[in-house]
Amino acid sequence: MVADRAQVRAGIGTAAGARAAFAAVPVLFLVIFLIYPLVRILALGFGPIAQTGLGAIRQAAVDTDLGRLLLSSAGQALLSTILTLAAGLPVAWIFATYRFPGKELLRALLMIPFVLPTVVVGSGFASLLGSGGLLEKLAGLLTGSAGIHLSIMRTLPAVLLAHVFYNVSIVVRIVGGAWSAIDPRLGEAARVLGAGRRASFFRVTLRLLLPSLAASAMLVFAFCFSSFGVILILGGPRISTLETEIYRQAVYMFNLPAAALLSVVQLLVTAAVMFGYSRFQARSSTIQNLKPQRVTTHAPRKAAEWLLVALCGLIPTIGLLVPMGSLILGSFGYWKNLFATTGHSLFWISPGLAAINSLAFATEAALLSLALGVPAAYLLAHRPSRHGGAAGAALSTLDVLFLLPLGTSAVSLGFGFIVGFNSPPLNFRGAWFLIPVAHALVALPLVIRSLLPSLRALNPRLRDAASVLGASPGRVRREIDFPILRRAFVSAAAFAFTVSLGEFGATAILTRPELVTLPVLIYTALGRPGASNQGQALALSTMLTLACAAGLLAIERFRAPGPEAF
Amino acid sequence: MALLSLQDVHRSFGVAHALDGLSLDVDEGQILAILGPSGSGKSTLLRLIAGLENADSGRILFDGRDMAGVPPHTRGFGLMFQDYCLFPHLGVQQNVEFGLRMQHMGADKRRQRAAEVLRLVRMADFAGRDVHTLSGGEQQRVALARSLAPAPRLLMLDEPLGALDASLRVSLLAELGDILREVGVTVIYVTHDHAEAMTIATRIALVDAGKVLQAGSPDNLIRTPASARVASFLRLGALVPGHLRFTDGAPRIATPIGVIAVPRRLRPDAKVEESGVLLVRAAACSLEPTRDKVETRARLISRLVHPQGSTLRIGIIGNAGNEYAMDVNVATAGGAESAWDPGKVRPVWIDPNLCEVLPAEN
Repeated sequence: MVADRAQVRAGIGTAAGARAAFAAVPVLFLVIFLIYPLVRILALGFGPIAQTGLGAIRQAAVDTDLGRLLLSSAGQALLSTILTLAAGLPVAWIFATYRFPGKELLRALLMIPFVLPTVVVGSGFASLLGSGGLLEKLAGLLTGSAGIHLSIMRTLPAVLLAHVFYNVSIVVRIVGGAWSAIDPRLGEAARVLGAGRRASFFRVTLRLLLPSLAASAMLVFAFCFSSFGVILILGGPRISTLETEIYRQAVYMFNLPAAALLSVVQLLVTAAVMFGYSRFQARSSTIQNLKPQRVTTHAPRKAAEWLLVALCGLIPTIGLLVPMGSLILGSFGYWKNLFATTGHSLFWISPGLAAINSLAFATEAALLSLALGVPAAYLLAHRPSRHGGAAGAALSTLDVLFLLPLGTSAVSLGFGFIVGFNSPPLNFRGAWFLIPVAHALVALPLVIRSLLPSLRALNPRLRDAASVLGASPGRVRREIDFPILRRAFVSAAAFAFTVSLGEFGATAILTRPELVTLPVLIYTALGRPGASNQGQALALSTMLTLACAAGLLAIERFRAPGPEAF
Repeated sequence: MALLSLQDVHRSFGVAHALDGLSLDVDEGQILAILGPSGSGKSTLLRLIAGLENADSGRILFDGRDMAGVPPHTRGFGLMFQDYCLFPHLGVQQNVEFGLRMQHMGADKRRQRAAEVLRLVRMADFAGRDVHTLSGGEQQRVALARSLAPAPRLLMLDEPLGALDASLRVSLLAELGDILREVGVTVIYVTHDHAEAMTIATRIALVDAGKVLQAGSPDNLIRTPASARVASFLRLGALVPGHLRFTDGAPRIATPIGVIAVPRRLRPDAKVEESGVLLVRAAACSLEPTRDKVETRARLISRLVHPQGSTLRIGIIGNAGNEYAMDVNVATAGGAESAWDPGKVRPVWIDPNLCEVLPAEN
């Protein structure tokens, strides 16, 4: 009997060991490809302290104009966040309050910018706002005078506009989701208790919304703070942020210690903001009295309500369609020559090669991030209540670890790969796989977050039921988990694929002529003079948009129903 | 020998003891109801028997074989979950066939067996349906068919009617009993509803705080409750705490509702001043004056009207103002029903010869 017991214990131990091994793969991957490069950046940035003391750092900070960079990065991010909230909250409100025809379409439409590559958004706005762009042509038509020059391009407003365009869907999804889950009867209860309409909004609804408001604001701030492609394309040389300066110092100045110092600052700021985000995100998902949407929404009743809904629906739609329409319009006439090698320069890269590279990297990144994300999501999906003490603490540490790439600036990640893998012990200098690995890292938090709701929604007793009916653990995974979660897997893989297609920050640093991707090529073409180059950039952007739209369709098609999260 | 035997089983989650030294035997062919309040460890007990969880200590023997280390999928037991747990990606037919497929039964035989059990639960017409389209009662039948299909030697039902509304429960309970008796399978039926347990079970184990308080036939439990806790859970009558006395050699119990002579069922070793609990059943209580009975006062708490007359829930009032609640039937207890109004205090008479003293709880 004692032997039996020991066997059981050993059996349980083996199962736990297998689970740990299963989870160890993604953890190990993150340690090698995320933590290690970041540590190398840290060593490079703070290395001089060991030799010359703090003075060296102070000098480097002065040399790189760190204070001004920090101010301009935070300033534009703050402005972008405020504007994004202002634009997103009315839309979130109509989503939370009303049922109206075309709601699902609008929801999907608003999701598009989130998966659009930064270079596409950049070139869309450039085609709209740039010299010879749609806006100038329209202004010319209206005033009847040719040659009007609007100096919006390469200014802060252009950047802010693009950031709002980009991030409005985050506010709508996070705040709108939380808002629609608040039982309207709570407000009614407050009103019966004597609170006026306004008091009931401020004291009940707003209080309940606060965590999700804070969470969405912090996420938007973090994304804008580490925004790269948009600022590079629309801000021009006059607007530099930490992120663009890391790139400039690393790629053009070869001043790696300076880039490392900036990276460290950048990472600290985004890590702090992302920490705040995850705290608020956790709190916003524990709101009491969550209700299904059919209870909380109703059709508009009065004409004024219909008008409000129409406005809140139409304005973002127009805001979305105009830059994209301008992009497509601008690309007309440049498709024919796209794949003909007209560039005679040695450095001209065929769009065909870039497209093939992009598709190959996206496929590899999708498979890799799925292979890493599934075990990670399984690990995190275990109910925290079941894990007290040390196990619980370990799990929440892992949660932060897996969220980390979301807050890591893509440029710093690419830079970390240069610093970390260009010399022994891990010398992968110029290896092609660094690009899909970087893409998989960027996609991993999104993959995990899109898998988690489905995994958590999977009733664990279904596995028990199958097990009691005679299914072995492997059989349970094949017969229960996989068929039920298959759609979620496809959706997550499509998400990673789309993210990889558009990834620009890390690729811009890691790229080599034969490894060039579509976003990198678009950026290069945009930077070249001449209508032909501009037009080809727009044509390539249109192509990339279509690919991303297909990806988005796949994401939405296979997405598990339920609350949305990032 | 018992088919299933649990011996001193312990299981705790952190500091909470779900099972605290539980022992129980189940004989072949028996329908055993595990009856207990929620949180008493009933569901944990089923999960341990099914092998979905492991006991901290103690033994679980099936057919004399220690089940420790035997994984759930090789035990061959049936378990029907409270929320049914039908597989959402499979249809009714495939759900029922699942266990058969795990036994590598051929497709033809599977279809035949599934049709057989679906007919048994009167769901033959639903074989092609999607489980999402089923009502609660229909899901319950499919879940039952699914657990019966592999012909388990032991079938466990976890609150099988718990998720259904009251009117459906009554009709399904009788039908479920018929089906289980027809199949002849050994059943462990977990419920918190004593009426359900009394109706369906051949034997009842009353469980509380992870222990078996008393096990026996329904009749046995009603006639001879082992403790005040058992009597309270089965709602056998008013329970009034008191102290034993022997005056003139006759045993009496001093309670807040009076000193009552109790000839019946006093343990031979009962001592003076030992505390005990007086059980006053409905049969011992009358609402009109009767000779040789003890007069006390009571207050109407609630009234349940049914075709056979009404049942009054009254509180017998003790001298310190405490109330001891019990149900009396007006038809058998006599007196005029119109005399009872909510809140009004009326005299009631208790027959000491029909009362009994139960051991007090520690």
